[in-house]
Amino acid sequence: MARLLHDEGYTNVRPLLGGFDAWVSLGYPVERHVDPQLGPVSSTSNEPSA
Amino acid sequence: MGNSLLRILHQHGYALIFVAVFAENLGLPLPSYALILVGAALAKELGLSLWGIVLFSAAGALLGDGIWFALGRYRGRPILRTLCSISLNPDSCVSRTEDLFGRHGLKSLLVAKFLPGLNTIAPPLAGLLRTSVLRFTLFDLGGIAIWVGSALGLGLAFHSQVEWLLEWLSAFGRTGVLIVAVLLAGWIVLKWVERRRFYKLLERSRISAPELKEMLERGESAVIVDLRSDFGFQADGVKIAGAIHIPPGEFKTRFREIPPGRPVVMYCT
Repeated sequence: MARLLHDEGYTNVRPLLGGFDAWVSLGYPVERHVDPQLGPVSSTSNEPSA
Repeated sequence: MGNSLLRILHQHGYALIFVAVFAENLGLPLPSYALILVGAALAKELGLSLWGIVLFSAAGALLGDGIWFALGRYRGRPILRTLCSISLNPDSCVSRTEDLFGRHGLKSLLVAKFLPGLNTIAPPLAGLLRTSVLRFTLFDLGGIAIWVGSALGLGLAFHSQVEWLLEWLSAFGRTGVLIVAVLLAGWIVLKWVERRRFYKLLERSRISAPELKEMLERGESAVIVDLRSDFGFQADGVKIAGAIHIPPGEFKTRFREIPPGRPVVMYCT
Protein backbone atom coordinates (compact mmCIF):
# COMPACT_ATOMS: atom_id res chain seq x y z
CA MET A 1 0.00 0.00 0.00
CA ALA A 2 2.96 2.25 0.70
CA ARG A 3 4.08 1.44 -2.82
CA LEU A 4 0.67 2.25 -4.31
CA LEU A 5 0.72 5.65 -2.61
CA HIS A 6 4.25 6.23 -3.79
CA ASP A 7 3.26 5.46 -7.38
CA GLU A 8 0.32 7.86 -7.06
CA GLY A 9 2.63 10.74 -6.24
CA TYR A 10 2.74 10.66 -2.45
CA THR A 11 6.51 10.86 -2.07
CA ASN A 12 6.89 10.73 1.70
CA VAL A 13 5.20 7.56 2.99
CA ARG A 14 6.46 5.67 6.02
CA PRO A 15 4.99 2.69 7.84
CA LEU A 16 4.97 2.93 11.63
CA LEU A 17 7.46 0.51 13.18
CA GLY A 18 5.65 -1.94 15.45
CA GLY A 19 2.27 -0.61 14.38
CA PHE A 20 -0.47 0.54 16.71
CA ASP A 21 0.62 -1.85 19.48
CA ALA A 22 4.01 -0.11 19.76
CA TRP A 23 2.30 3.29 19.99
CA VAL A 24 -0.07 2.14 22.71
CA SER A 25 2.58 0.27 24.70
CA LEU A 26 4.56 3.52 25.02
CA GLY A 27 1.50 5.21 26.45
CA TYR A 28 1.21 7.76 23.62
CA PRO A 29 -2.11 9.60 23.12
CA VAL A 30 -4.99 7.78 21.46
CA GLU A 31 -8.46 8.96 20.60
CA ARG A 32 -11.83 7.18 20.80
CA HIS A 33 -13.17 6.99 17.29
CA VAL A 34 -16.63 7.21 15.81
CA ASP A 35 -18.40 3.90 15.66
CA PRO A 36 -20.73 3.86 12.63
CA GLN A 37 -23.12 1.48 14.38
CA LEU A 38 -23.35 3.29 17.68
CA GLY A 39 -22.90 6.88 16.59
CA PRO A 40 -20.21 9.26 17.74
CA VAL A 41 -18.29 8.23 20.83
CA SER A 42 -16.50 10.88 22.81
CA SER A 43 -14.31 10.45 25.84
CA THR A 44 -15.58 13.73 27.28
CA SER A 45 -19.31 13.13 26.88
CA ASN A 46 -21.38 11.00 29.22
CA GLU A 47 -24.60 11.31 27.26
CA PRO A 48 -25.88 8.06 25.83
CA SER A 49 -26.15 8.15 22.06
CA ALA A 50 -29.64 8.07 20.60
CA MET B 1 20.27 -48.56 -8.31
CA GLY B 2 23.83 -47.56 -7.51
CA ASN B 3 23.04 -43.89 -7.41
CA SER B 4 23.76 -42.07 -4.20
CA LEU B 5 21.00 -39.54 -4.79
CA LEU B 6 18.39 -42.19 -5.14
CA ARG B 7 19.94 -44.20 -2.34
CA ILE B 8 19.33 -41.38 0.10
CA LEU B 9 15.72 -41.14 -1.03
CA HIS B 10 15.43 -44.92 -0.96
CA GLN B 11 16.66 -45.21 2.61
CA HIS B 12 15.16 -42.12 4.16
CA GLY B 13 12.34 -41.21 1.77
CA TYR B 14 9.48 -40.89 4.24
CA ALA B 15 11.55 -39.18 6.93
CA LEU B 16 12.95 -36.72 4.41
CA ILE B 17 9.51 -35.85 3.05
CA PHE B 18 8.06 -35.46 6.53
CA VAL B 19 10.86 -33.21 7.79
CA ALA B 20 10.95 -31.05 4.64
CA VAL B 21 7.19 -30.51 4.58
CA PHE B 22 7.08 -29.83 8.32
CA ALA B 23 9.95 -27.31 8.18
CA GLU B 24 8.52 -25.53 5.16
CA ASN B 25 5.18 -25.13 6.87
CA LEU B 26 6.93 -23.68 9.89
CA GLY B 27 8.22 -21.00 7.53
CA LEU B 28 11.59 -22.20 6.22
CA PRO B 29 12.12 -21.76 2.50
CA LEU B 30 12.36 -25.40 1.43
CA PRO B 31 11.27 -26.97 -1.86
CA SER B 32 9.23 -29.75 -0.29
CA TYR B 33 6.72 -29.62 -3.15
CA ALA B 34 9.47 -30.74 -5.54
CA LEU B 35 10.46 -33.49 -3.14
CA ILE B 36 6.92 -34.89 -3.03
CA LEU B 37 6.78 -34.68 -6.82
CA VAL B 38 10.02 -36.65 -7.25
CA GLY B 39 8.99 -39.14 -4.59
CA ALA B 40 5.69 -39.78 -6.37
CA ALA B 41 7.31 -40.04 -9.80
CA LEU B 42 9.81 -42.64 -8.64
CA ALA B 43 7.70 -44.31 -5.97
CA LYS B 44 8.14 -47.78 -7.46
CA GLU B 45 11.90 -47.47 -7.94
CA LEU B 46 12.35 -46.03 -4.46
CA GLY B 47 10.20 -48.63 -2.78
CA LEU B 48 7.83 -45.94 -1.48
CA SER B 49 4.07 -46.31 -1.54
CA LEU B 50 1.98 -43.38 -2.76
CA TRP B 51 -0.17 -43.65 0.35
CA GLY B 52 2.95 -43.47 2.49
CA ILE B 53 4.02 -40.29 0.72
CA VAL B 54 0.56 -38.77 1.19
CA LEU B 55 0.48 -39.77 4.85
CA PHE B 56 3.92 -38.43 5.73
CA SER B 57 3.56 -35.17 3.84
CA ALA B 58 0.08 -34.57 5.26
CA ALA B 59 1.34 -35.30 8.79
CA GLY B 60 4.26 -32.88 8.35
CA ALA B 61 2.04 -30.12 6.99
CA LEU B 62 -0.67 -30.57 9.60
CA LEU B 63 1.87 -30.58 12.43
CA GLY B 64 3.57 -27.41 11.15
CA ASP B 65 0.27 -25.61 10.63
CA GLY B 66 -1.06 -26.90 13.94
CA ILE B 67 1.84 -25.36 15.84
CA TRP B 68 1.16 -21.96 14.25
CA PHE B 69 -2.55 -22.33 14.86
CA ALA B 70 -1.92 -23.03 18.55
CA LEU B 71 0.49 -20.09 18.81
CA GLY B 72 -2.10 -17.80 17.25
CA ARG B 73 -4.77 -19.07 19.57
CA TYR B 74 -2.83 -18.85 22.81
CA ARG B 75 -0.31 -16.06 22.18
CA GLY B 76 -2.52 -13.88 20.02
CA ARG B 77 -1.63 -10.78 18.09
CA PRO B 78 2.10 -10.42 18.89
CA ILE B 79 2.75 -13.70 17.07
CA LEU B 80 1.09 -12.33 13.95
CA ARG B 81 3.05 -9.11 14.08
CA THR B 82 6.33 -10.98 14.24
CA LEU B 83 5.26 -13.11 11.30
CA CYS B 84 4.20 -10.05 9.37
CA SER B 85 7.65 -8.55 9.61
CA ILE B 86 9.49 -11.66 8.41
CA SER B 87 6.92 -12.83 5.90
CA LEU B 88 8.05 -13.22 2.29
CA ASN B 89 5.34 -10.89 1.16
CA PRO B 90 6.85 -7.40 1.43
CA ASP B 91 3.89 -5.18 2.19
CA SER B 92 1.82 -7.88 3.77
CA CYS B 93 0.48 -6.78 7.07
CA VAL B 94 -1.71 -8.42 9.67
CA SER B 95 -4.67 -6.29 8.73
CA ARG B 96 -4.41 -7.23 5.08
CA THR B 97 -4.44 -10.91 5.88
CA GLU B 98 -7.20 -10.31 8.37
CA ASP B 99 -9.18 -8.61 5.63
CA LEU B 100 -8.66 -11.54 3.28
CA PHE B 101 -9.79 -13.88 6.00
CA GLY B 102 -12.79 -11.70 6.67
CA ARG B 103 -13.86 -12.04 3.05
CA HIS B 104 -13.02 -15.67 2.33
CA GLY B 105 -12.87 -17.07 5.83
CA LEU B 106 -11.47 -20.52 6.32
CA LYS B 107 -11.60 -21.12 2.58
CA SER B 108 -8.32 -19.17 2.44
CA LEU B 109 -6.71 -22.26 3.96
CA LEU B 110 -7.57 -24.24 0.84
CA VAL B 111 -5.25 -22.21 -1.38
CA ALA B 112 -2.83 -20.89 1.26
CA LYS B 113 -0.25 -23.60 0.52
CA PHE B 114 0.34 -22.13 -2.92
CA LEU B 115 0.90 -18.59 -1.65
CA PRO B 116 4.19 -18.33 0.29
CA GLY B 117 3.21 -15.31 2.36
CA LEU B 118 -0.23 -16.57 3.26
CA ASN B 119 0.86 -20.13 3.98
CA THR B 120 2.59 -19.27 7.25
CA ILE B 121 0.22 -16.53 8.29
CA ALA B 122 -3.16 -18.22 7.71
CA PRO B 123 -2.96 -20.87 10.48
CA PRO B 124 -2.05 -18.46 13.32
CA LEU B 125 -4.71 -16.07 12.06
CA ALA B 126 -7.30 -18.83 12.21
CA GLY B 127 -6.15 -19.44 15.78
CA LEU B 128 -6.36 -15.76 16.65
CA LEU B 129 -9.91 -15.56 15.32
CA ARG B 130 -10.91 -18.41 17.66
CA THR B 131 -11.68 -20.91 14.92
CA SER B 132 -12.59 -24.25 16.49
CA VAL B 133 -9.91 -26.93 16.33
CA LEU B 134 -12.22 -29.21 14.35
CA ARG B 135 -13.06 -26.62 11.69
CA PHE B 136 -9.43 -25.58 11.38
CA THR B 137 -8.30 -29.19 11.00
CA LEU B 138 -10.93 -29.90 8.34
CA PHE B 139 -10.11 -26.86 6.20
CA ASP B 140 -6.38 -27.25 6.71
CA LEU B 141 -6.59 -30.88 5.65
CA GLY B 142 -8.55 -29.75 2.60
CA GLY B 143 -5.74 -27.36 1.65
CA ILE B 144 -3.13 -30.05 2.31
CA ALA B 145 -5.05 -32.55 0.16
CA ILE B 146 -5.09 -30.12 -2.79
CA TRP B 147 -1.42 -29.31 -2.33
CA VAL B 148 -0.12 -32.87 -1.90
CA GLY B 149 -2.56 -34.18 -4.51
CA SER B 150 -1.30 -31.79 -7.16
CA ALA B 151 2.34 -32.67 -6.45
CA LEU B 152 1.44 -36.34 -6.66
CA GLY B 153 -0.45 -35.85 -9.90
CA LEU B 154 2.40 -33.91 -11.49
CA GLY B 155 4.90 -36.54 -10.33
CA LEU B 156 2.88 -39.35 -11.88
CA ALA B 157 2.23 -37.42 -15.08
CA PHE B 158 5.88 -36.54 -15.58
CA HIS B 159 7.19 -39.86 -14.34
CA SER B 160 9.49 -40.47 -17.33
CA GLN B 161 10.86 -36.93 -17.39
CA VAL B 162 11.77 -37.07 -13.69
CA GLU B 163 13.35 -40.46 -14.22
CA TRP B 164 15.33 -39.17 -17.18
CA LEU B 165 16.53 -36.16 -15.22
CA LEU B 166 17.70 -38.26 -12.30
CA GLU B 167 19.40 -40.76 -14.59
CA TRP B 168 21.17 -37.92 -16.30
CA LEU B 169 22.32 -36.62 -12.91
CA SER B 170 23.35 -40.06 -11.72
CA ALA B 171 25.60 -40.39 -14.78
CA PHE B 172 27.71 -37.77 -13.06
CA GLY B 173 27.97 -39.93 -9.94
CA ARG B 174 29.14 -37.86 -7.01
CA THR B 175 29.11 -34.79 -9.20
CA GLY B 176 25.38 -35.36 -9.66
CA VAL B 177 24.78 -35.07 -5.93
CA LEU B 178 26.94 -31.99 -5.92
CA ILE B 179 24.97 -30.37 -8.75
CA VAL B 180 21.70 -30.97 -6.90
CA ALA B 181 23.16 -29.71 -3.64
CA VAL B 182 24.52 -26.55 -5.26
CA LEU B 183 21.24 -25.85 -7.07
CA LEU B 184 19.32 -26.39 -3.85
CA ALA B 185 21.66 -24.20 -1.81
CA GLY B 186 21.52 -21.53 -4.50
CA TRP B 187 17.74 -21.58 -4.49
CA ILE B 188 17.54 -21.25 -0.70
CA VAL B 189 20.11 -18.45 -0.65
CA LEU B 190 18.20 -16.64 -3.39
CA LYS B 191 14.96 -16.84 -1.45
CA TRP B 192 16.70 -15.73 1.72
CA VAL B 193 18.42 -12.78 0.03
CA GLU B 194 15.12 -11.74 -1.51
CA ARG B 195 13.47 -11.82 1.90
CA ARG B 196 16.30 -9.88 3.52
CA ARG B 197 16.19 -7.24 0.82
CA PHE B 198 12.47 -6.59 1.25
CA TYR B 199 12.91 -6.60 5.00
CA LYS B 200 15.77 -4.10 4.86
CA LEU B 201 13.80 -1.87 2.54
CA LEU B 202 10.84 -1.92 4.89
CA GLU B 203 13.05 -1.34 7.90
CA ARG B 204 14.76 1.66 6.37
CA SER B 205 11.56 3.42 5.48
CA ARG B 206 9.87 2.76 8.80
CA ILE B 207 9.32 5.40 11.43
CA SER B 208 9.45 4.47 15.12
CA ALA B 209 6.71 5.49 17.55
CA PRO B 210 8.94 7.98 19.47
CA GLU B 211 10.05 9.54 16.16
CA LEU B 212 6.44 10.00 15.10
CA LYS B 213 5.44 11.52 18.43
CA GLU B 214 8.34 13.95 18.25
CA MET B 215 7.39 14.83 14.69
CA LEU B 216 3.82 15.65 15.75
CA GLU B 217 5.05 17.65 18.73
CA ARG B 218 7.23 19.73 16.42
CA GLY B 219 3.97 20.66 14.74
CA GLU B 220 4.69 18.90 11.45
CA SER B 221 1.45 18.29 9.63
CA ALA B 222 1.83 14.58 9.00
CA VAL B 223 -1.20 12.61 7.85
CA ILE B 224 -1.67 9.46 9.91
CA VAL B 225 -3.52 6.62 8.22
CA ASP B 226 -5.00 3.74 10.21
CA LEU B 227 -4.92 0.63 8.03
CA ARG B 228 -6.48 -1.84 10.41
CA SER B 229 -9.32 -3.98 9.11
CA ASP B 230 -12.81 -2.92 10.18
CA PHE B 231 -12.82 -5.88 12.53
CA GLY B 232 -9.65 -4.85 14.38
CA PHE B 233 -10.50 -1.14 14.28
CA GLN B 234 -13.94 -1.55 15.85
CA ALA B 235 -12.76 -4.11 18.39
CA ASP B 236 -10.12 -1.72 19.69
CA GLY B 237 -12.29 1.41 19.80
CA VAL B 238 -9.25 3.72 19.81
CA LYS B 239 -6.81 5.05 17.21
CA ILE B 240 -3.83 7.38 17.16
CA ALA B 241 -5.18 10.90 17.68
CA GLY B 242 -6.12 12.49 14.36
CA ALA B 243 -5.70 9.38 12.24
CA ILE B 244 -7.87 8.65 9.19
CA HIS B 245 -9.16 5.07 9.05
CA ILE B 246 -9.10 3.30 5.69
CA PRO B 247 -9.56 -0.50 5.82
CA PRO B 248 -7.10 -2.32 3.54
CA GLY B 249 -9.91 -3.69 1.37
CA GLU B 250 -11.09 -0.17 0.51
CA PHE B 251 -7.62 1.30 0.13
CA LYS B 252 -7.53 1.25 -3.67
CA THR B 253 -10.76 3.25 -3.94
CA ARG B 254 -10.33 5.56 -0.98
CA PHE B 255 -6.65 6.49 -0.85
CA ARG B 256 -7.46 9.88 -2.41
CA GLU B 257 -8.90 10.90 0.97
CA ILE B 258 -5.27 11.29 2.03
CA PRO B 259 -4.33 14.91 1.36
CA PRO B 260 -1.34 15.03 -1.00
CA GLY B 261 1.84 16.97 -0.42
CA ARG B 262 2.17 16.07 3.27
CA PRO B 263 4.22 13.33 4.89
CA VAL B 264 2.15 10.18 5.39
CA VAL B 265 2.57 7.68 8.22
CA MET B 266 0.62 4.43 7.99
CA TYR B 267 0.08 1.82 10.62
CA CYS B 268 -1.70 -1.44 11.23
CA THR B 269 -2.14 -3.41 14.43
